[in-house]
Amino acid sequence: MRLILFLICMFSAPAYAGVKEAVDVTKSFHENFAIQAQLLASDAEKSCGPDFLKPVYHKAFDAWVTASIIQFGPIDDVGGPLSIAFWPDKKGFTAKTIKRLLQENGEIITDKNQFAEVSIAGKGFFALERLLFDPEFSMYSTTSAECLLVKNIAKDIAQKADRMNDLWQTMFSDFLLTAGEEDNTVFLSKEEAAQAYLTSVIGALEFIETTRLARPLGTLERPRPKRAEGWRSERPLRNIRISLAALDDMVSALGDNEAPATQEELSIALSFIPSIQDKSLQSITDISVRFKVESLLQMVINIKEAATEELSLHLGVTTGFNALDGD
Amino acid sequence: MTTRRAFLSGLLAASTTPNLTWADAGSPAYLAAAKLPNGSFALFGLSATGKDIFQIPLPGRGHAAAVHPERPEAVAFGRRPGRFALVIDCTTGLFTQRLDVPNERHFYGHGAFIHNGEILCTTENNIKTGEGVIGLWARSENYRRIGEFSSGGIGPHELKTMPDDKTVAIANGGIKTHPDTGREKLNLNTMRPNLSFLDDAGIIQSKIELTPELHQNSIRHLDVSMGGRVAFGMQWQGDPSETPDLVGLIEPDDKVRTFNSGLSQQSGLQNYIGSVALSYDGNTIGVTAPKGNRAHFYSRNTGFIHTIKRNDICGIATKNDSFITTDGTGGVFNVNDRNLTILAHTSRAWDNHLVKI
Repeated sequence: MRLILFLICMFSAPAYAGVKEAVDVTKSFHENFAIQAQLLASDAEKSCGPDFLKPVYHKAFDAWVTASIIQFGPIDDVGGPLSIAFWPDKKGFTAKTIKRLLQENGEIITDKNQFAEVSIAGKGFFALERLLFDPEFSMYSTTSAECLLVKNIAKDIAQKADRMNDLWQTMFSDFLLTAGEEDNTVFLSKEEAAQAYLTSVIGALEFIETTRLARPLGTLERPRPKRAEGWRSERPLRNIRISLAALDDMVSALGDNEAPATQEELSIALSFIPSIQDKSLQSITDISVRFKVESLLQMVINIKEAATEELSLHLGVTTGFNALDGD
Repeated sequence: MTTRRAFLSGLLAASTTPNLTWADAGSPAYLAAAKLPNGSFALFGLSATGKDIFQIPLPGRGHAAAVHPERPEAVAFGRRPGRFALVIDCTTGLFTQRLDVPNERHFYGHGAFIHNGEILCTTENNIKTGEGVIGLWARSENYRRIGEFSSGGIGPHELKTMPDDKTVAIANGGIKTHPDTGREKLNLNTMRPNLSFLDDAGIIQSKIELTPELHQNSIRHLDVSMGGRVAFGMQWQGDPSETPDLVGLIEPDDKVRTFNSGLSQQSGLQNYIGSVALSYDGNTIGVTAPKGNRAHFYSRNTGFIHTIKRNDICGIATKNDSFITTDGTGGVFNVNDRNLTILAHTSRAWDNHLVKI
């Protein structure tokens, strides 16, 4: 068996062959996110009413969930993924921050410089979700502080999306494509570029597994449906479906179609998802729904295991030597 | 023909041979273990500029090494739960001694010398009770085990010698494990880590505990400045969606402070600090987060300074008035101002710790 693996390693396609394709996929994800975020911001500028903004909010959030599977590079230039989607929020920082901003008569919201300093808990898609979908906040008028806050948050998301897209279309793609070349200070070898993508794919699958699924499932005795991501806007299952679809695109690109088991597992999960009726996962207290969501969790684990094996072999790299040591 | 006089002087020469210094091993500035591209493992001596000084094959994956303060001698520990440690003569690359831990004990991966290098202290587990143990080994008696005392807690991991050369600072991580269940954590709900200072008689000089809500914050790594400040790094075992402080500093008067880098940066650490280094003056702390692929730097006076990104970064040690890092992708870097500048890059994977000589 060891000999067979060795021979496969020797004769498989050159390692990191899929990085160029992965960069193209990344660029298209971020280009779309920048476009959708811009639409959200310009629509919010036209009218801040929740009913008007909900469809465009969903489209922009969809685009972010897709782009968010790439967890390295320009995302750090805008303050990390939490600065766009602050979740999980166990201590309720988002609601606290919004309330504080509104109580202070909108002064901070009006002042551009002051708003820039506002905690990331009061920005991004989850702050916007509270304002658009939570009846505690969503009954505002067009002249209210809430309305201004909606506009500012949408604009902030669009600016971050724009900045990331700029970096991906130019400088950061170049770093990946010239990995290992003499003047490249970010990726010192082609393996490092491949490893960044591999770590990202596995990290994104782990996020779905542990945070989007296992956390709300809790235990049989104590399920935690309110821990589902974006339950107020009925997005829990949607975010899982969209991120798996994005991972499907990424695995195809990165694996040069040489990750058949991973793609098979992905397609099993993607075709299973529509059979779960409760899009917001709020009825996981019901044993039959719970059983289905647990099945999905197992499917995601299967994808992760297949991806770890197939992509590592195909790319000739592994995920973190130290990161996985646990000491 | 050997005369009696010549034989005696030969004996004398033999007995003075051990008085070699680190200069005889090429004056390495750091030690680090690594996995080589062919899958084997080795201990490396590195210069201050990250160049290889020596390479000694190891029988398995290393974790950290205890460095003798004067002699070119290192004690290499494997990953926990290890049953033995190897004393390495860094001038010849030979294993001169094998430390076998007594029955009912296993090593936890770190060691440190006290009493000018005469006594080696090792972190260990009492397998029967799960209590932490510090094993004592006498170097002048071929590393005979001369005793042990309680570490002051459960799951001791890294320990460091204090400037008085007779006190050790011990990170009692609080996590109970048993060799039968490998690295499985057996007491996450009741764990209570601490940082204990023990003198050479095993008497606890002081014990630092965190507030009760942080009882799942495992204190695992530490470093000591020349003036006796102690920086420590933690690994959060509680709800992963929380972002507790992971870095702390203890003043010589036992005053403790922990640091936070703000919601966004803090979450990037993935709740896991892999290694800690404290500047000579005790004013700057460098920590690595291999799961978060980044290093953070904190000032004693002003708190969080900045982040540096690097895949699988883990080894960190002080260098002049800054730091040097190693990572699982083969890089050795200087931390300059707010950037990394490369010193060396190979295809070996540097393991957890970079140990300063």
